[in-house]
Amino acid sequence: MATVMLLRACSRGSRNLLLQMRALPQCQSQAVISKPFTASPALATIEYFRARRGPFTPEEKRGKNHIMTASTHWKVERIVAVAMVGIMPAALFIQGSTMDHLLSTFVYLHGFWGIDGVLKDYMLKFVPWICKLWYLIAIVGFAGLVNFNYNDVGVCKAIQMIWSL
Amino acid sequence: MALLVRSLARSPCFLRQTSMLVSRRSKMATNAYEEMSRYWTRNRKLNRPLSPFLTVYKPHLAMMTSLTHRITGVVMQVAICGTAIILLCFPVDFKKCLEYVRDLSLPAPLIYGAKYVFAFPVTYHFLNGLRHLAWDAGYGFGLKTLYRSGYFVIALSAVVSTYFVFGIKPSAL
Repeated sequence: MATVMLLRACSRGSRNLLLQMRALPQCQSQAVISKPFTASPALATIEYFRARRGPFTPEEKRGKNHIMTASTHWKVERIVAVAMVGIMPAALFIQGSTMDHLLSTFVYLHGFWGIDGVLKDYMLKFVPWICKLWYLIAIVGFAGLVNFNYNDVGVCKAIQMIWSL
Repeated sequence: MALLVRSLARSPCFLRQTSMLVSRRSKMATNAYEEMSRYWTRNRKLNRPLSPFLTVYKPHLAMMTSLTHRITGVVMQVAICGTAIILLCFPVDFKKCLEYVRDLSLPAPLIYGAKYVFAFPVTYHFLNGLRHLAWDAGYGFGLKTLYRSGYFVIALSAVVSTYFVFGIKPSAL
């Protein structure tokens, strides 16, 4: 924005630059209502989220011990998504134990990468270990799904039963 | 002798240089957290207003569809993962659970509302996911196409989720 103003001043003369600069603060204060920051120092939990602890340097952001490049991982994510485009409508017509396993694997994997992305967008800079925690929780969740498919009715049958209410 | 004198003359400057280096290094040793907490305590003491961040954006379709896509995805995955973990910790016979809910004989609007809560996120996320895959393939970035596809996805997901709620009724299993 400063460069635009400078270019304008170059074409019209420096007096106009001063006029433009004086005009701006007025229109800004009219349109914008700012919230006064009066949080008491007692809110220590908010204080925790003030500071970024996450990866700062490019080396930290690159990470260590990757199994594949980020672009390859992106391709795998899209392959799973395209596979789901086939599996989800097929589950309406074909049910059974195979469909149970297929559905739970693909949907869960897609959801795992989704939550991973959301956590990396919002939480990672405050809580650097959050993705590892989600990894552990997701493993337990997948174990629960596999157990449900094996020892209980299975997801397709369960959805049918819920829908029959 | 001359070397000694010259070295003595040079050493104060050398010491000053090292002391300057040491103080500069200790200033750089503060990490981001310390700098940020100092920033926040100072601004809190001065009672400065926060600069506006979320409220300054006028909501538009692309933002709303993307937000709904993300929210439906997160809610679904949390529901699936949460249900799976709860079922792992408290193993129940699913058929018995269903009999219990059927015996409650909840009012029909509540049942239909609950079915909408299940069906709408899935259909919306699926159809908007198709839109996302089209973008990944390189199609549909133009503003007109973007808005048309966005409205189409919203309308189609409303229609399809209504069909799922009212049109599909498996026999009581």
